[in-house]
Amino acid sequence: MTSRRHLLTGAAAAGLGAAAGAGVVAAAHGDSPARVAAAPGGQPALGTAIVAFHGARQAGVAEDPPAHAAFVAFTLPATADRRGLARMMRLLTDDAARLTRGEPALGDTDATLAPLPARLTVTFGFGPGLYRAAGLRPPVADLPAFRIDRLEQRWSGGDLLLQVCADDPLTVAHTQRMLIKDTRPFAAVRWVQQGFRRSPGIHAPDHTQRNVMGQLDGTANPRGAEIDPAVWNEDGSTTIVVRRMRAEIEKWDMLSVADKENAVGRRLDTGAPLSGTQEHDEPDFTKLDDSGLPAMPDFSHVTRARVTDPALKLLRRPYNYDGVPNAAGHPDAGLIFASFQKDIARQFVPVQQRLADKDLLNEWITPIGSAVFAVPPGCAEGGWIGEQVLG
Amino acid sequence: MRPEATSRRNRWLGGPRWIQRLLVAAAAFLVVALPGVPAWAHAQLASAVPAPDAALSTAPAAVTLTFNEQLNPEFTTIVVSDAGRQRVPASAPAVSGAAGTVRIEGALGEGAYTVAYRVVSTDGHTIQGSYGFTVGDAARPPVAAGESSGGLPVGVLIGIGAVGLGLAMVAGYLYFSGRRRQRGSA
Amino acid sequence: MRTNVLRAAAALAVATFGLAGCGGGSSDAATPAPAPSATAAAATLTVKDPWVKAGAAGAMTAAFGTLVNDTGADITITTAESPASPLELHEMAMKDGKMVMQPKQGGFVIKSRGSHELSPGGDHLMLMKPAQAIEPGDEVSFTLKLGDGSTVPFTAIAKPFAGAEESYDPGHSMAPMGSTAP
Repeated sequence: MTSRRHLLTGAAAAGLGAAAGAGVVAAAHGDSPARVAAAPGGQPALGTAIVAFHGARQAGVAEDPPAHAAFVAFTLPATADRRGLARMMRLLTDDAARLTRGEPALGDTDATLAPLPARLTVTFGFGPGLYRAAGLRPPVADLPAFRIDRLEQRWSGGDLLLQVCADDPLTVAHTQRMLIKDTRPFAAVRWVQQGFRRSPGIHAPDHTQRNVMGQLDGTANPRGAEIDPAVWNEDGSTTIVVRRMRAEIEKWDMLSVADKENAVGRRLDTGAPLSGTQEHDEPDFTKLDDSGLPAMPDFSHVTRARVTDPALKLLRRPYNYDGVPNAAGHPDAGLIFASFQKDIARQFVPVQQRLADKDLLNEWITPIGSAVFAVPPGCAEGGWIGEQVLG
Repeated sequence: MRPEATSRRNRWLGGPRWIQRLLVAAAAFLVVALPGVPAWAHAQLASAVPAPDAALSTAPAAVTLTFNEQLNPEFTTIVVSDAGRQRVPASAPAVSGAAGTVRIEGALGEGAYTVAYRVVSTDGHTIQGSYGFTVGDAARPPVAAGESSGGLPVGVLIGIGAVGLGLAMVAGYLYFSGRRRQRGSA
Repeated sequence: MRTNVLRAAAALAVATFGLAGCGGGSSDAATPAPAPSATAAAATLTVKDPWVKAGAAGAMTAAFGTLVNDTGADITITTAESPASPLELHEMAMKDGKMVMQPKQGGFVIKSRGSHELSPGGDHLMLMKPAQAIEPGDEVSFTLKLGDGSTVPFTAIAKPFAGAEESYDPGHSMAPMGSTAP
């Protein structure tokens, strides 16, 4: 099943319609030709790029991740029921469909913030509690406790998740605000995690992002045709795990580059596995150095996290976070780990269990938040997210 | 020769002033940089059985490495390889305090062997190194003893540190004596 | 202005690419907007982006949207009806130096090829006394009656517009989530 979602880049739109569209618009609104003509150029194309909201699968999963994200989790009240949830999802779907194409939501009091969607996506996730409130059997279950976990309630759990991503932080802020306003009658905000990656135009396309610890993060991700068998169920649904990983950066600072590379199993500069020379070299766990030691340390993160079966891989879509340092100047930074996979129990849990059992990197990362959500299929125009579940 | 010119010379070493400056800079660099080099105060191999370079008449049944710090059992790798760089079958490391032991499965034949280790100290630094021993009449071990904290052998680091300290002392002496001299001749 | 620039670009791109499952923007009168939307009897009057402010049973509330006249003649909306509540056409007008809400005499007139916006603080359809609470996400149907006797039905989604006035305490009291929608 191939995705029929298309990315409408400003360039594509401009190429097809710049002349005609600009002419019409300029005539209708008196915009200066220079301003309109700027659209085909570099910068404005980023602002006007649209990721289609409607489709068999939700957006915000398989696309190249935009630079900014807000993960917003909600708690349902005890009075929540299936019909109310359906109303909520109709409303939020309508908001998301409009905002993602650069239009204000209905009753948008800051309509001027809507027109630059910058690849805005809104992805909805349903926690186990939402299914229970609707009288349904949850397709996802909370993760087992891992010994490395130091979970804080304020970053954990949730009945509803909104993942809002865009290449512009103001777009994310406006969308987050609008969606939270419309969710207020139905649910309470439980937590919000805001994160970032490199900005568009900074890297070549297809780059692997670097996290706040300086590591290339996501090299082993499935790409292209590898995504489908690992991520999407037949019905267009998937699941998401969101874990807040605090980076113990002050301790990480104490290490030499070689120490860090041993913990990760990759070179810090190139991202190459310690058994190879290029980022995308397959790690060779049989390779020995001159003294007979495995080139890939058996306790390194890459060694422990390795998944070879393509159907069992995780599609990681993490964002960095960097909060306010404390008075001592110690950062509050880390990773909002987000992964998509068909089946959390079959794909995510075994990897996390191996990492919890043994992973040298655990010395410098601490899971402080954890939540799981089913990601229901997408919807066609006129439909709403969750209609297959709650309709 | 005019006094100013004389004052530019380093009387002690007889070298020109730029050498002094270079030495000061080098010493300053080393003094600043060395505390950041992590091998200084971290775990290292304290003793080993068999000992490095040991020439044994009977094959050892186990290899025990003792470090100067507690080991984390999860992150302890000890392997024994033969002269053909084939890994000798051995148990997983059993860690007790600062010591890790692998039991060798089967008897080692005559020949040269290499013990290699990669362990992690309690503060998370990786220490790896290797040494050789022989059983029977075999030639000298194929791999020279060495230890590293992921890169430079400890010996090298200590050497650099000693040189750096020496340079710092020399440079400090030169700097202050040079200033006294300059003030005196001005 | 900017919005329209982008709408134009997006609509154009969509039309050209023929995106599966994704029609044009709501600015495209021929394609209904997602969710509850507006329809018109044969290209006479279109109600674009309709919505209604959610509220309690018996409490006055209002519906909004943009009335678009694609015909060559002016259109007058004389009255409006809804199964949810008795309706009045209201305007905001200056009276003795104050803005007041009052019934619109003669109804709303939408000029030929023009549009007329119903918005908070402006003209609106007043729901005088909803029989039941209008819950956020409800879909409420309306019928506009035109001067020539024809009617234009549309459906509006209910939004929690006065969000700041809501008091919500998770786990404690909360408006029941029962629906008044059909």
